Amino acid sequence: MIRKLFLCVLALLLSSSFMHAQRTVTGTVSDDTGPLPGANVVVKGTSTGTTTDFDGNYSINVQNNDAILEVSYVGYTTIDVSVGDLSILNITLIQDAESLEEIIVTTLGFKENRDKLAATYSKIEADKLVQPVENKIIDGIAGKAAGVSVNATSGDPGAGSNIQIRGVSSLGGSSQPLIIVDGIPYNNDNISGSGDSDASAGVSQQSRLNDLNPDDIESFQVFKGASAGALYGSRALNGVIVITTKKGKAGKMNITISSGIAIDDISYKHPLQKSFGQGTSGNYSPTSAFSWGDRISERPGGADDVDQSGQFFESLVSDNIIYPITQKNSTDVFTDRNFDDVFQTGTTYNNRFTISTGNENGTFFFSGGQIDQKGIIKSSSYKKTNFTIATTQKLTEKLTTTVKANYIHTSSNRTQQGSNTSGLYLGLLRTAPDFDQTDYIGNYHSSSGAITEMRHRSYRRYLGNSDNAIYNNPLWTINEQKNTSLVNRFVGSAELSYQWNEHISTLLRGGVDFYGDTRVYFWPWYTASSARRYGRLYDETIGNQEYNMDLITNFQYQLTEKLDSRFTIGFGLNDRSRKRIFTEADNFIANFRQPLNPSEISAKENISSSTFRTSRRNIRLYGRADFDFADQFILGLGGAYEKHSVLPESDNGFFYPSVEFGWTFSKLWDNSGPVSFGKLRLAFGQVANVPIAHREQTVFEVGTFTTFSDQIALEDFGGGFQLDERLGNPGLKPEIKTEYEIGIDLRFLKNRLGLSATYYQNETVDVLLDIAIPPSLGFDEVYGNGATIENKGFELEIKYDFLKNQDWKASVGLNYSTNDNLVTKLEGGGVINFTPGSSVQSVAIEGYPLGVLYTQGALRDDSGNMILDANGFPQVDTGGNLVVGDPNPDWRGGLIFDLSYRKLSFHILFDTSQGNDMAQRTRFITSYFGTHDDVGKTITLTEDLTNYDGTVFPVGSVVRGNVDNFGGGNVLSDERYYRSLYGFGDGKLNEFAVHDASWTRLREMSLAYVLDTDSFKNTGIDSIEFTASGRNLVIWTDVVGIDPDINQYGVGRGKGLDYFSNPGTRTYSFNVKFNF
Amino acid sequence: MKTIYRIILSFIFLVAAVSCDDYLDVNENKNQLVEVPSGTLLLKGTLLANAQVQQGQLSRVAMYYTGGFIGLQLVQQTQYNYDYTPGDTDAVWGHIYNGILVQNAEIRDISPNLDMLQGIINVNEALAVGTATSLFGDVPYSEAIPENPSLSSPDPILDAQADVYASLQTLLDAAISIINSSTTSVGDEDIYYNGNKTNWVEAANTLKARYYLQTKQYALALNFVPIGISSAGNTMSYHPIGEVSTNSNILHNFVNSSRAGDMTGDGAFYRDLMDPGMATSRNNAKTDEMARRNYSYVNGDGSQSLGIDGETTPMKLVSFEENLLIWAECLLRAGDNQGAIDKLNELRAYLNSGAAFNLINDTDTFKYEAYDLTDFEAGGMENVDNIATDRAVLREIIEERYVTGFTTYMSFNDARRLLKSDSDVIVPFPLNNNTTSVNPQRLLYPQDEIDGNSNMPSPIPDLFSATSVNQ
Repeated sequence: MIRKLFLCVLALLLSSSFMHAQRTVTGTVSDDTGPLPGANVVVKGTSTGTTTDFDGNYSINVQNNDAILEVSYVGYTTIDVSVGDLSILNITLIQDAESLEEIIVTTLGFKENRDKLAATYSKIEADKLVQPVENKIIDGIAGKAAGVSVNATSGDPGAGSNIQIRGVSSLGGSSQPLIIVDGIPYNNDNISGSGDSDASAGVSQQSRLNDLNPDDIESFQVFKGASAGALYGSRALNGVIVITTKKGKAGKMNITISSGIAIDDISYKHPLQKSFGQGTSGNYSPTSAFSWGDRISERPGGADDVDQSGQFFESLVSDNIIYPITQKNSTDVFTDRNFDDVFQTGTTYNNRFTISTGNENGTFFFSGGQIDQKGIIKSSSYKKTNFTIATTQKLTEKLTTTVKANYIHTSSNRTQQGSNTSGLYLGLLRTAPDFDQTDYIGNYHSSSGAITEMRHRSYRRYLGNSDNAIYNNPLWTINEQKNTSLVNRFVGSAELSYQWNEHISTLLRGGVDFYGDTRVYFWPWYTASSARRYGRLYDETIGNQEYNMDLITNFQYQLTEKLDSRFTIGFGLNDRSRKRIFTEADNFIANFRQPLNPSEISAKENISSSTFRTSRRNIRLYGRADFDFADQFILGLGGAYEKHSVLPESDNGFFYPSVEFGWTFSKLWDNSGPVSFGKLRLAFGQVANVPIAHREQTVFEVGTFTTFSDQIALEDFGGGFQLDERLGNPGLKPEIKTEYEIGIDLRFLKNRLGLSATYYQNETVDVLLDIAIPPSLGFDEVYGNGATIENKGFELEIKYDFLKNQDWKASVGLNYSTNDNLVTKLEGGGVINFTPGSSVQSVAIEGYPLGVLYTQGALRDDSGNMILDANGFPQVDTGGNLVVGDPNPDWRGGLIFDLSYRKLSFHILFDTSQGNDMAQRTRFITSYFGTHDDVGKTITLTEDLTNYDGTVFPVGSVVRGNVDNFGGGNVLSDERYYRSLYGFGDGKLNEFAVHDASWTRLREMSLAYVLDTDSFKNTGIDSIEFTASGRNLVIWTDVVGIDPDINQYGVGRGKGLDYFSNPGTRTYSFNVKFNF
Repeated sequence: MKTIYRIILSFIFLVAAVSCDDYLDVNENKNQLVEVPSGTLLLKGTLLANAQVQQGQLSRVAMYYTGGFIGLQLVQQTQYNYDYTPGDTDAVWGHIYNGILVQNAEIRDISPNLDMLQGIINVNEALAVGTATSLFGDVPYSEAIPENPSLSSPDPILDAQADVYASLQTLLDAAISIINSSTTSVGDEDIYYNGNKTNWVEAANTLKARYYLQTKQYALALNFVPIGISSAGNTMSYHPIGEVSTNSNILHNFVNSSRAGDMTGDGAFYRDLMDPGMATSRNNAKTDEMARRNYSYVNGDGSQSLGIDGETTPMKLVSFEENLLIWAECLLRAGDNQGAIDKLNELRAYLNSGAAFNLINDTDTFKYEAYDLTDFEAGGMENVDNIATDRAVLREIIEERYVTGFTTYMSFNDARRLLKSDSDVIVPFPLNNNTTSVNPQRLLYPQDEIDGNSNMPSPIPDLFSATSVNQ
């Protein structure tokens, strides 16, 4: 039984003793979260009325003390308040729970009733956004909103996640949504810079969105459609996420202190074989790249026979001396120990506080927190300290200010990964099971007695007898290399609002967002890779700044008895600039172990430095008109006119319109029976994406000239210039996305069952890309408008509060979405590769969804059957690359279940992605190397079988391999097959790395208990909340060895690839929060 | 009430008006120039681009196809086995069109009055485009590099090979005339000749002779060799500084790069031809190639200091030696056997002076005594197989061109030029595999141009189709 909620009226302070015939009453209308702008205050029985300003303030004239104010606001129960002799009257409205009306904060920062909007939004409750201890806000969205997909691309601390709203709509620039915090764009960079420019390798870069303190967030909404984003025009192409942060609340001071710990475990490990030793063709070799050697169990056992007469390796890690092996006797297997040397249980400590207070003239909010995370890889770490101050101050009755400041400091050490001989997994997973990696660094003594200090010992160089370790020993990767990042960020905003009269208010808002990121990458002498063998140092500083200013005026009129209207016009300026300074040094003059000043460690000719600056600005004039007729029809008209610095000066202005129409048809019936609410929505809108800065003109570069590994450079001949190969384009236009959507919102059973369904279709035209042109024109390419991309899809969200009584509450929520993406035009008809450097590429090709997997496939006949060779094995189609998979899911879904009993609450979330493919290249390549468990099986043949070379193995043979059938009968897939068709580069069946990667996961589970017994109250503590939660607890998938969310290419358009990428995590966290 | 509107609106428009266009004027590139004050600043880049056109990967391919080098691994092995793909041409093609032609157009635009500069870039252009047409046949030239290129520029047509050669003769004539009458100087931006007029004019004349030779207009070629490169010091070369790889000898860079070991001169026909120990070598009583053989040794796995791939060894682009050899061949073809031998002997005298190449070892010997006509008569030391005297002289001239032109396109061009009419004097280098019966007759058009230019011939001519001047 739902209890009628009560009204609460607070009248405070300063009563006036003077009674006039007519006088002014002022005050603030708020709810339990803060002031309510736009609330209606009417003197009952008269035509006198007003609305509250941006800060919830109102001022109204009353005739006498008998006057009654009727205060209403959408989604809240309307109340009547007697004025009496008060001149200041603060009113608190209570949300009308029965109506279940949901309040949305629009992109401009205004609160609106969701039922009065016709575009699609998904609102995620702030307290459901993140589990208390975790710091990755983005991942908290995952599975909670239809049409919004979030993939945590790496388990590394602080790593960015891919957020995609309604598919990908562009080929260049950011693929991530615009983040608006309190009306101001919030930087969500995830940039690689020059130090990490090889997207196939390097480290996981942090997402700047993770800088937000979860404690500061009051509401979090995803605006999916183009109509909702139209006011942000050129930056809303990928959708908009609107976040509002907390302000202080008037009244008693409220303090919270919370503390928690999270424990991370590696979620999946690549299974490795432990039966066969290093070598090939069944023979042991201590320097082989492969693990196709002898059967370890058949060795005699005991210590290896070694030659102590000549060269040896003297470990600096242990007392071990390693001599050349003349006979391998040992049956020891080190697979697990090697793994445990590198990985650990990650821990995150998180301590935070908030202080909130205020009075009728102002509020104050202060929060701070510190996160100290040690990742699952032993060297990886992430620390974050942040402080936020937010104050509001009423300067006069009509003038109010709000000032917010947010400082964030993060420092971290990352781990090299991916297609990278100095990465972690590449060396680890290729290491033979019988190699003990412990002694990874030491002094090498040659036969002649020469000593090389601090040599790198790896499984292919077990004596450390070469400068070239070939692949890093994983312990070298984590202990000797450094990849630090240090970020200082300041985000500040100030607002000034002025209430001209009861209809008109103006807001001036300015914001700054600065960060500086200092990154150092260090590889000492003898690191694997030819470029790093004698040391390499990158030192990069990224300075980013963004200024934003808006001037918004709001008009609100009741035009007729039934027609309400609101008009907003605004003017905005935005200025973004970035400077990167990159210094590189290599070929250190000595074996330095620390990243010193480049000029200390390298000769001058081995040091180079470069600076990159970008700058862009835009000006926006925007407006919105909303009409509400008879509470039944709503019409929203929006438009933004923008001018951009990155567009040609003669044609730099564009207009983005939007129209939304809603019909609450349930108003047709007085008593609609089981249907408590029904609304039909139609929306149309345009958003855009503007070109990259500085592409208008052809630039001169200090050219380099190479034809094949033979570069010469102008800078080393005293300088000079060359017109770039890329032609400037003075005719650039923005990409324009036009979207139509139709949807219906239904609620049944007194609003306890809600359903929202939307179908959308959008097309982005003039998509920007580098278009190849005939080189005989003098240039290779021109950045221009040349592609078209379509997305269409269906989204469904259902929520059912099936149990609701005094003690028990339970609800189940379901979301489902599809997105069909298609690249319908690609100028030049070429292939755009989002994953340069990978054998399986994620590409855009005309006629296919964006991101399809493209590589060498098996030779097939017209009906798609593999054409086999004489021995019954597949053959490589040498006619060029084929589309062999699609990493985009057919559909995604989420299932959320909440249950609470009094103070105990339980939350669980499952989500799923179906029909997405992934190139499991780690598994593919480790099969080639002979380390993967797939290729470690011993079988006894039950029939005569032929192997790849045509050798027949008679029935009863005991062999290493698998029985396969490629369509021509059973064959024996053994070393010959895996080393011929698996592997790198051309002539390999890369298609066989691509498999279905559908997954379903238990994404979140949490249990919380609030302790607020009266006995506490004497201690000053209001309540204590205990929370235990888990994330990524179970994943059901056919993918082997890695979380299918992991992406070698991190945040961006290239998807569905794993290649020695650092693993994902499973997290358990525990938190306690004290409220004072 | 109206006042309020006025205040609000005028404030908005005020802010909008004062800020608009100036505020947005930040699209100028902050990192790179969009204009340069003088075309002189572009000169060096065009010369370096041409160094790569003449001495980069395609010249190594030309060596693979004429017994000079062997491709051992990866791409080098693939190309060596005649699996040359259109993509292999992209880099050189880019250096011709972007590296040189478009820069030249820019130089003509911004510094029309720097006459010496204009002359130099014309000669440099003629060198690059001549190489292009000799390797690829018909190439875009008259319509290449349009005035204001854009996405909507029409695809350039391919000019017939003979027309390209004709245009280059005209271009060189113009260049010679501009340089001769020039009053401005370019100074050390000219890393080939340091702005020396005589050198540029002589090089232009040798180039004219080279192209007449390639189009088999031998009589015309003969007109220009006397005013061609007149001394070894006037040879046009890429002069590496050799401090760092990026200002070193290009071959040095290649063999010292991550591609070390992918290519070698060991076991190649050239090396045996020069080996005094080989019965079939070109050494004879008057000739000892030991020192030149050692100088020309490229083992592909790290360069040889002072050798042809030494970091500071100059790479010849248009040489005194070439001028003498064109001269000799054209005299011969004009019927002047003794005149031809005299020119050959001029070259041998230069070789014998020891100034033509570095001595790798102190013990290396060399000898280039003057030939007599009798050496080429039946039974002579250069005619043991008793062929006609003039053919024997021509055979020696071609063989000397083969040796002199090592690491350049000269031998590849000769092998193709002589195939139809003079196959008896072609240097008999072997083919690289058993499945191929004819030597490559061209290099393939680049993939980038094939992809983008609708005027490319269909089908694309393969590696074994001769270009029109050699048909």
